[in-house]
Amino acid sequence: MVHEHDVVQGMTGEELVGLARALKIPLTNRTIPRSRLLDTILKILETLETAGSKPSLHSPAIKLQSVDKRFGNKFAIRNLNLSIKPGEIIGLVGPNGAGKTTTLRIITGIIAPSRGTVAVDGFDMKKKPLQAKQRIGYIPERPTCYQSLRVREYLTFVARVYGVPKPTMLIRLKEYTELFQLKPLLSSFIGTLSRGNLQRILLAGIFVREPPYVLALDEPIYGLDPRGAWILKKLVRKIRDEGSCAVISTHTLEIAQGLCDRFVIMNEGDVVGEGTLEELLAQHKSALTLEEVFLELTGGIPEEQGV
Amino acid sequence: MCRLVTTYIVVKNELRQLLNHLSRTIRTPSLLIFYVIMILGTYFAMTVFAAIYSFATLIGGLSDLLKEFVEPAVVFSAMGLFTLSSVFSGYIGSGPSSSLETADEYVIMPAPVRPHQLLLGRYVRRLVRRISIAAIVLFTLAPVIMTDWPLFIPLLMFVLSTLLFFEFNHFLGGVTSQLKTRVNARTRSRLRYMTPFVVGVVMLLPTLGQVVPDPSIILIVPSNVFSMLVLGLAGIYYSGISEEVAMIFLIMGYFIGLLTLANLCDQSLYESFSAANSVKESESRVGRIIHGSVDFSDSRFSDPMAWIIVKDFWSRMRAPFQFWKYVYFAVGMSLVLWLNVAEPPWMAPVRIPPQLSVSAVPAFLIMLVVLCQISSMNAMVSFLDEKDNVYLLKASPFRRTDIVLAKYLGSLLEGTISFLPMLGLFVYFFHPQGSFVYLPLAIPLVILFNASGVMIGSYVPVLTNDPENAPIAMVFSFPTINLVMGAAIVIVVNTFLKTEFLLLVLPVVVTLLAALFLCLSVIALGSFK
Repeated sequence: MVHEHDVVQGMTGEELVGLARALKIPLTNRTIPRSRLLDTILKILETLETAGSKPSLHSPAIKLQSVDKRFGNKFAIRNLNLSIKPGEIIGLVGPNGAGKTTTLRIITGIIAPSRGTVAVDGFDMKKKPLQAKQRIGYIPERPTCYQSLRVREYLTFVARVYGVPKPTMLIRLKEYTELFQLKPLLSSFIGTLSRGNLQRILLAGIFVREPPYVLALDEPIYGLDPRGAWILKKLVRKIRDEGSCAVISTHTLEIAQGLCDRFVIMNEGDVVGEGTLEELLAQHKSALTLEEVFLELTGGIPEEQGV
Repeated sequence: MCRLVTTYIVVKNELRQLLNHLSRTIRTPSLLIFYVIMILGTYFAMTVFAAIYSFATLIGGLSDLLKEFVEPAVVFSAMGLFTLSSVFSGYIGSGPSSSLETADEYVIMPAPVRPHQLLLGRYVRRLVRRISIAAIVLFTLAPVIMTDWPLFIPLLMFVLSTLLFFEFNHFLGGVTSQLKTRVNARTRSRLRYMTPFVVGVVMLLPTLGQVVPDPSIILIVPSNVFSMLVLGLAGIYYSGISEEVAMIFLIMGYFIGLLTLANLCDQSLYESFSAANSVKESESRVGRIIHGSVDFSDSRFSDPMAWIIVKDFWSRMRAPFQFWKYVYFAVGMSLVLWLNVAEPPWMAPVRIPPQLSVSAVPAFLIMLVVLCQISSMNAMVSFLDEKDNVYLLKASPFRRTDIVLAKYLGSLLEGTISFLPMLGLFVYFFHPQGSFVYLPLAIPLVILFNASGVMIGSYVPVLTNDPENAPIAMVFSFPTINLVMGAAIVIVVNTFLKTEFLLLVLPVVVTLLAALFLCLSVIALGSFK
């Protein structure tokens, strides 16, 4: 509540009036002192907060059982078993064509596995796709969005699609547009934005929804400036501590090492290594870092040739 | 319990995008200019054609001609065959997933949105967009309509019914595609390939005169309703059912098609979109290999302009479509030569009735302009085909003039290849008395149209961030600009036909205009976003 309190207190007069309308607070007088309006809003929000229960993720939040994905005769993923608990960040690493993006697309329900089952938040993706997708937040490798929408329209649309109540949407919109420094871009058309800004908008589109989240992030740092990357890493750790989970696919092993609790190393559609950094290092005595474990599992460490 | 999203939110989002697109266009002067060119240019061209060539006479005579030559039963069957082709193209192609966008894959597909809701939203947007385009078409046809006012209602009905009929066929293709997915999921038997035949036969049989004595009574088949409506509007055939009732049946057919398709859409819609995207990605990888495979350093050409032409030639040559284009050129030219030499009686040229002789030469001229335009489409896509490589091309050590000239000369070559067989066949079948004198006009028209195409294509990366897809206004501005130029050249030629002055004025005007377009193209290349 303290957090929401801070966001509401930072709202402009216009934003407060908008929030009051969303909360159906009667505004009968021509003018109203800011402090009184703020008090009324905060009281109502407090009542709503105590009345509602905070949802939590089913455990495991993501469960893939014996998943195969074939494109024609070629296996993109072979017999993948993955279980991710709430409060866990998993790093999905592997060389190009290892099957990382395909795994994320299967988790998010964009494509179905050729064999096996996928469950997100306890819901089977095939039988109850709408419920399974309710908690998913996806950032693709190459961010794309509706070019003809303005940033504010996109964020509002996402909130409505996920059934976020309007007052919550207004508060979270304020919070995350400020966090990702999107305020000056709210009226811009998405088609005119740079890749980094587009990435930040997609991220804000996830967080405008209510937690907990099941995040599937494909190279989330790529395109972000150092500040944006830092904010994202901090945010992912924060929501992890609050009970969300994330699968992060990345080639940047330093980021994976600094952010993830556990790693799944893939190569040509197979899982070739799995565990925490300590477990992986213990399994591969000659390796000193995640990078060396990765290289050892995916074709060996290249010999130095006059380097 | 998760809150299910309503179709309303998705539809609203689609319409919002459409509205924003319009608002962006209005606020972007360059795009607005293209829209104004497109609308007013066509209006002007139509005014010129309507004023000079008495459309009323042509249309009045056309009805009699059609009555004499057109057999209603053939029209019913032809429309039935058109529907059949939609069924098969839907079965072979990507079906309704072709209406999805990459952004859907990242925003809507992982969201709790049902596939049919996304599809309905997309089709509502598509319908609104098409109706707007139909309204613009009707507006631009106003000069023709004004020559004969009673023409307005039939023309309106024709435009609307065509739109509804084409959309229905699109839905039917989608239905067949979804049926294919469902049948394939249930059986691996070879009988599954019967799906399009079953759907096709159901749609085709009621249109065949040999099966049904009067196809017009089977109104549940939209191709029958459309044929009946069009034949009725042309005054060739009257079935006893009014055009208004036929329109209602077409509208019902539209909604039945749409809702059937929506009902059949499931997760496989997303699957086929992703599969189609993967194919596209692998094609672009192939494309990159092709682009990279032309080793300029080993080229016997020393001119960068020649390098670019060679690169474009080989890149295109390796696409299957292009190969068939050259086959078409060889076969088409042989056929044209043979037809002109042999003049077989079973393939005789069109006999022009005396009542239409006044309008025949103008019709010949219009067709000539249209043929030149069709063959010049390559010019516009010569820059679009480069996709993101257009930036690479610009950054390469070539002079901008060389790049533009290479694209222009390459397009002229391509345009000529597609134009000559078309022109040959056209002239063989339709050569009214006095039309041959206008035939050399094709040369200045092709020169000009290719130059304007290269110019418009080069401005896409200037006005947008997407070098691959031209905004609709630019795409339509291309034929419009050419139509206006065609009309203007026709006026000049008509005015100076009997003077030697024409031999001086026409080449000068054409050269100056082509040079202007190419100069603008060079400027555009220097101002990419």
